[in-house]
Amino acid sequence: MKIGQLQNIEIKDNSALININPEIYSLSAIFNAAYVMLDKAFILIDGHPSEEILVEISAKDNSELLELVKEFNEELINYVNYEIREQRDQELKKAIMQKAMIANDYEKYLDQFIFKKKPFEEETKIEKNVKKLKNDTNNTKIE
Amino acid sequence: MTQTILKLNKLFYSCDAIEKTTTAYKDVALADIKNTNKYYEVILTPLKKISHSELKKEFANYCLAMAKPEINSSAFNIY
Repeated sequence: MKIGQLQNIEIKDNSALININPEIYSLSAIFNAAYVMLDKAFILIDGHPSEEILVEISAKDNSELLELVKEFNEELINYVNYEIREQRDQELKKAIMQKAMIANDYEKYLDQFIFKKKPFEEETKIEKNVKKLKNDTNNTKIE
Repeated sequence: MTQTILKLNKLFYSCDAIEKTTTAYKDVALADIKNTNKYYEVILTPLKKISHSELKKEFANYCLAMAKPEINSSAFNIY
């Protein structure tokens, strides 16, 4: 029995076979939707990732098969929408991250070279101490 | 004990995922994996009282959970 206007859902005995167009739904979206449904249904994926993907769903326990199919379709749309939004916002995220990282580096730069001269002062202190120690040891040898 | 065959498409299920499932199911069923042209054929011999169809479905579900975890990991980042 074929269901839906697009007739992409076929029900056989206790399982439903869904034909998915990989040009519309990505493989990752299909896997994610299937993964979410694993505790409610038995899922088997077949077909070809670039031609047609077949998802066989059968109900666990007494849950309604048609409800599961609808839920799977909703999850699919959910994940595809998420991926589209992610792609769209990718450039924006990148720009925000770059700005944040540049700002962070700039502060480090200021700390090290403009406001504080600690590293250089510390070095000179150490050098002075080393010289003192050397002198002391030389003096003790002479005595 | 009777056997049942589960066919898993190579393009969607990795060998690693099937091996992990086989070790997870070692107390439930013995699994022998055959590498054919398009499918991994998993020959399952149940060790406990479980129907063949139930075993196949459970095994396939576990395989799917194990398959391509780098894809599945993003499932938690949706919101």
